[in-house]
Amino acid sequence: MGNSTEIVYTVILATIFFVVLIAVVIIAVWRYHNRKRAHEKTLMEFDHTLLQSRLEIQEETFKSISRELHDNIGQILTLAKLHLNTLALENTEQSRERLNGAIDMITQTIQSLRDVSRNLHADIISRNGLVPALETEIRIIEKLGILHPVFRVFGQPVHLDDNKSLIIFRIVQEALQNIVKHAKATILEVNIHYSFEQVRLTISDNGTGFNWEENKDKGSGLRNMTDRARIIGAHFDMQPAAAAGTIITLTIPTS
Amino acid sequence: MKGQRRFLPLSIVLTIQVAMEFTAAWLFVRKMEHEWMYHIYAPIDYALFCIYFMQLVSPKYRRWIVVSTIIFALASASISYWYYHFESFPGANINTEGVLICIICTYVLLNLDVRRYDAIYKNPDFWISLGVIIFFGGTFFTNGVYTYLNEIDKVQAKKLFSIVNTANLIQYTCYIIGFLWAIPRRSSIQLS
Repeated sequence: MGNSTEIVYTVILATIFFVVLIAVVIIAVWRYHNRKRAHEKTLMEFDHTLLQSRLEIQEETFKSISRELHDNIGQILTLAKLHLNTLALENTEQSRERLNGAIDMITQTIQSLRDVSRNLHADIISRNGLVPALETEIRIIEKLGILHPVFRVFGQPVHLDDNKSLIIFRIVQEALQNIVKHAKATILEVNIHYSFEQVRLTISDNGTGFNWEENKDKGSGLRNMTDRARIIGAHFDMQPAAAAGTIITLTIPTS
Repeated sequence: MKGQRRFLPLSIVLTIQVAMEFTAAWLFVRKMEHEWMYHIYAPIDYALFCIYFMQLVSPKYRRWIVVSTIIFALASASISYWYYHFESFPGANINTEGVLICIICTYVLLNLDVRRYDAIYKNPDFWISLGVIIFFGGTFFTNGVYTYLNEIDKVQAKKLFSIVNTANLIQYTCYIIGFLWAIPRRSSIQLS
């Protein structure tokens, strides 16, 4: 009798167990479908962000080339032309001086053109990685003469995926542009800390700071940076610096 | 399967299963004791399944699976020695193994990698987990009843194994489907 009761209990238990297993399988299929859809959405978002970042970097590169052509190369070539136009062939000594001056200017122009072609960001990221691309960007800002930038790398650089690096670069570029345009800063510090688990990137300035209340609705740039960080699995944080200005922290997991 | 080293523990499990079933049948025909084999088989079977499933879970849970393997080996040896004396069929051991594997399979099924495969039915891990769950679900019931029934009526107890046979058949069908989906497919054809 005792045995038959135990058998009944076992059968009931087994039936419950079976029903639970069937439920697990159904839930697993449903969950897989939902997660797959969410994953596809993330992939689409990533592709969209990547494309947008590429376009924006390209646009910034064009702007930088245009500025370089207008402010530097164009000016030097105009000056060189002026030197050549005012050549007085009867005065050999003066002509030689002017000719040498024109040659120097053209050499400088050639060097500037080389720099322009070398500074195509998207190319640098895929060829040399994130750090050289950021160095180039910092150099461009330094050339503007508005503020004094400092760029430091701590730890052993870890290789990040090219697409991820491109999006990180665009986040930094956007942050730097905001500082140049709005912060009225004189000092800019960009630090990268590489560690085994993460890459921590900090951008700080001594400018006027960021008013969250005034900018919370219109800060599309800020939203862009936050969204981009989320898409690559990074964490974006913007805080007022202790003394003055703002400190931006971007934490990117390496795995 | 070249490039599919992660299925190696599962292949070893299947090889051991086949070898063990043949040996058990041979011992049974010669009217020799064969139940003792299952006492040794249970911890090995569980450990190999764990090695396979450990590749599909996060590192946090991997540690728990390793701990469960050690605890199960010790518990299984103790039950076999003190309770079954390595003589009768180790229903409790195999049921415990089944419940543990079903818990791991449930976790795996609910957290299948969505990045590699278009649909769930193309995922080998889905079929393998499903096969394991069906098999252990079937044996969970059979083993429990078999232990009691074997004491009353040995002939009737043997008949219970038709449930295990069906579960076995479904399990191996699932494995075959899983292994077929694991074969790398060419994404393009080359025209000569």
